[in-house]
Amino acid sequence: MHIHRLEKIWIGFGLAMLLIFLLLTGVAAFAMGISPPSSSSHENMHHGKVDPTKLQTTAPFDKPGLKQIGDNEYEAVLIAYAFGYNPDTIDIPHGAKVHFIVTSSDVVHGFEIPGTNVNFMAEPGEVTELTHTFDKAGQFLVLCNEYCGTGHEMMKMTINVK
Amino acid sequence: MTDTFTSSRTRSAAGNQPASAAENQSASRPGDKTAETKEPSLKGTFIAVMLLGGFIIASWVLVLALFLSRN
Repeated sequence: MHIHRLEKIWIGFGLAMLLIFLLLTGVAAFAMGISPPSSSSHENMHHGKVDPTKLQTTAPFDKPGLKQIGDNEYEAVLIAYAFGYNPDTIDIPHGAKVHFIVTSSDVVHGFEIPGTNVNFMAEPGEVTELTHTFDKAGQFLVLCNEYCGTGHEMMKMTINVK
Repeated sequence: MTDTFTSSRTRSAAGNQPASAAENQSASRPGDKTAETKEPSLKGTFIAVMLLGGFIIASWVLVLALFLSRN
């Protein structure tokens, strides 16, 4: 089969681009540990699943809030509900690394801090985890970005970074 | 078409000189760029493909930069 010289160049270009993108995705996933905000590895949870009707008696959701786990490293256990978050305010020291552990007690909610990479879904029965380092001081707004009902636009919480 | 070809071949085989010359003219000579070896120009297509590739790379890099700046 005869292939035009220029055609060979652009086929090579396309294949090289595909290979580079796949390679970078592989490096990000397996070497740098970047993964979608899901599949909790928390010791008390079975593959990131939780019974949404028994959150009050299920660890760690029986005690939602901020918990220090290391040197300027925290775990923020939060429950999203219609129409708010429990707790509705958390204070984080400047430069802290925060592991968000979030679930929903009713319907699907969103969890977004505008201007950051913190943006995920809080689903009933599923535990979502995401880590973020707060390098900038200030007040951060957390919004629900999944339509969850009539009070959806009122659903928010505040993160104070001091 | 077939008739002309056949008759020219027949005449050629019979040693007819003018017919033989005509046959040589229509047949492809070695090193001659005739219709079957001539390639269409794909320069425009090549430029379009490279522009599209450049756009894909640029958007990929932009999204990566946005992700890293917000991290």
